[in-house]
Amino acid sequence: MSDLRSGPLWLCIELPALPLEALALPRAAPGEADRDGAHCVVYAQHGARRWVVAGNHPKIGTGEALGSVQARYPDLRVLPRDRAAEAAALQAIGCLAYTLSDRIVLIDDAPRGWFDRPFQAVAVDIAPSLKLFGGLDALLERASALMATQVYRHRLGVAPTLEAAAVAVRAALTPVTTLDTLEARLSPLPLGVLRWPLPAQELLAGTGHASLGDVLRHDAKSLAARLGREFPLALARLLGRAPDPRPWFTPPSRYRRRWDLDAEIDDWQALLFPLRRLFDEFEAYLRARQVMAAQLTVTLARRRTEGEHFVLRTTSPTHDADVFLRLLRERWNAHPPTAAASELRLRADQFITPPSPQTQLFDDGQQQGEAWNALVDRLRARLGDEALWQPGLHADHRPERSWMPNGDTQAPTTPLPPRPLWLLRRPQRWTPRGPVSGPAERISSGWWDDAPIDRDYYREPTSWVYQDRRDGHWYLHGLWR
Amino acid sequence: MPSRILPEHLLQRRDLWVGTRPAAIAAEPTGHAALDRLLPGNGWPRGALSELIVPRPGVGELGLIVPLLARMTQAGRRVALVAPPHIPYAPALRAAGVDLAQCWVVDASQAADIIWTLEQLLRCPAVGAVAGWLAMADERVQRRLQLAAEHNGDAGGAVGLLLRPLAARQQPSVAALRLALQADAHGTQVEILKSRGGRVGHSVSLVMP
Repeated sequence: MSDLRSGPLWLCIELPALPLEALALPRAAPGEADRDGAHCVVYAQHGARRWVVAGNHPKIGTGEALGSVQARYPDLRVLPRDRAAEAAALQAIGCLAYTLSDRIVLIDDAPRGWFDRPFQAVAVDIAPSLKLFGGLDALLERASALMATQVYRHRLGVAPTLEAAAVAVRAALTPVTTLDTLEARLSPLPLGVLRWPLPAQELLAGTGHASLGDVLRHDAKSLAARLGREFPLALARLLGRAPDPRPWFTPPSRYRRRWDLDAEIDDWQALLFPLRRLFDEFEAYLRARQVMAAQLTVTLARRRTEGEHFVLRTTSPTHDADVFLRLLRERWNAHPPTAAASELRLRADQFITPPSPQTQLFDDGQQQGEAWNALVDRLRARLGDEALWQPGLHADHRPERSWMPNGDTQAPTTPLPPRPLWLLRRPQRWTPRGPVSGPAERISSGWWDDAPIDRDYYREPTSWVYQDRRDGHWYLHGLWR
Repeated sequence: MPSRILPEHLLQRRDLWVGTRPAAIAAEPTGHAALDRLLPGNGWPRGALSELIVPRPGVGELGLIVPLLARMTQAGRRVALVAPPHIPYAPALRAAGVDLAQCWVVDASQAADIIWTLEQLLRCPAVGAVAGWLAMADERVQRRLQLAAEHNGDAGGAVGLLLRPLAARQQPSVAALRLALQADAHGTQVEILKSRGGRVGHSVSLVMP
């Protein structure tokens, strides 16, 4: 069974349009597909040469010279590659891939020369997870479903070595699952799929090597003599005959994400769309590291300025980015950002490893507690911290001070005469309609501070009234029910 | 003519009311036995809105709902009072048996904020009962809140109480239960204006401490 593999099995997820998709661009609406202005290409530059590496125009291929493309489509938007944005997007996909396996390598190969395009991919060693997902087909289905939630186009390839998986993507091979069959599957492929440096590729092509098999016929020594020592080694790695050590990708210990907007935006509702994507990335990051966050800072700025910071705090740490997005929305609903922004930044520094196993999260009480904490955060974000409080007790005889917002909720009950359910925020002047009868409760207290009282309280049918003994006036202070 | 017996699976449906018998309604006892007897399910309907018409604060609305708050909080469920007209007085709540640790108050003055808050609270599975003081609530708002109250149907649903001014008495309402309150000599007169699955028109006089 393939479940009992000894070696690795690599899934290579190539992102053929990453230079374009890593940028904040409005996606072309279907109805506008034939309008040049709705299209956009990203170009690479080397010296004076510029060529297309990614684009969303159906009639423009990668590798075309930018000048000729612009001559044909004068309204086309052209943008240079943004390497920082591409690297950040690749990292985000790396985090996402953690749901498949924790053995991940990011591949970010530059164009080999003019008119070539970069090769950008996330490679995942899925051998340890095959059993968990119930076989290769199920895992590939999961990977496709995962990528379908993203804006990125992708192509998949599977092979027992990392380099062969990359070749499998480029040659659109069906999965190669065993080392024994690898050489036979690769041999018929044209040389170009190797992405070897162009001089070597041209030399081989010029000497009658059309396919990979033609190259594999040579022994290592003669290849090394003709091309250089690294080439036989590359072939050995491709076929799994030499180890291919690569640095594993691990999510950084602190989270930083910058997102350049296409234009300056002053309507915060419009910011929610790109933010949604960034928050999803943040969630993938949290899940990849298996940590939770209680604080996330969102910054809106104009290019390279300090900007306006929005610190989002949750009552209990969470790995659900939706919580933060809701908090932000509530916050902006009540207090919109003051300035337009052309740059979004997300920052989180402190993370908490969940203390208990995840199974406890399914406990009903804890789930309710989480739901409640999230609700408290939302209410406070919209209404302000003071708006939500708990009626509590306070040890003081004065009626207006024997309670306190968020005071003691557990204090032992003191035997007081009955108290009304409603207390007026401020006693109101009151005029007795007839003689006020019944036993009075004299409350005389507070001589030690700034609010001493000296009152006689009476119980009227619906109201709790008192006569101030200092001036003789009557006041309404509470309602019984 | 003998009454035709409906198939058992139909009889067990909550949304089907057989006219000859009181509807089986999930409810929480109000804590006032005389009122419970008049209500379908013998109490406040759960997962639904109840409307209390209150001509002015202090006619007995808090006394009417305090037994519910006490029962819910003692069972460890949270209760919330939204935009109350005066301060719910902690010493009296405590004396009435309310566990203050589970009792929350939300201050809000804008109608939009109050409605939003009620909706959020009603949707939260951790909340057992919500009482909101809301002057303006047209049919659209009521439907929104009614939907929010139904949201947690599987968990039993929260009791949603809307406290409305006298003017609301003439307005149409989607609430499952509507009561009109009036202070009388010994307590509060409660009139049942509308009761889904129950009888209307009855009045009961509740004696409150």
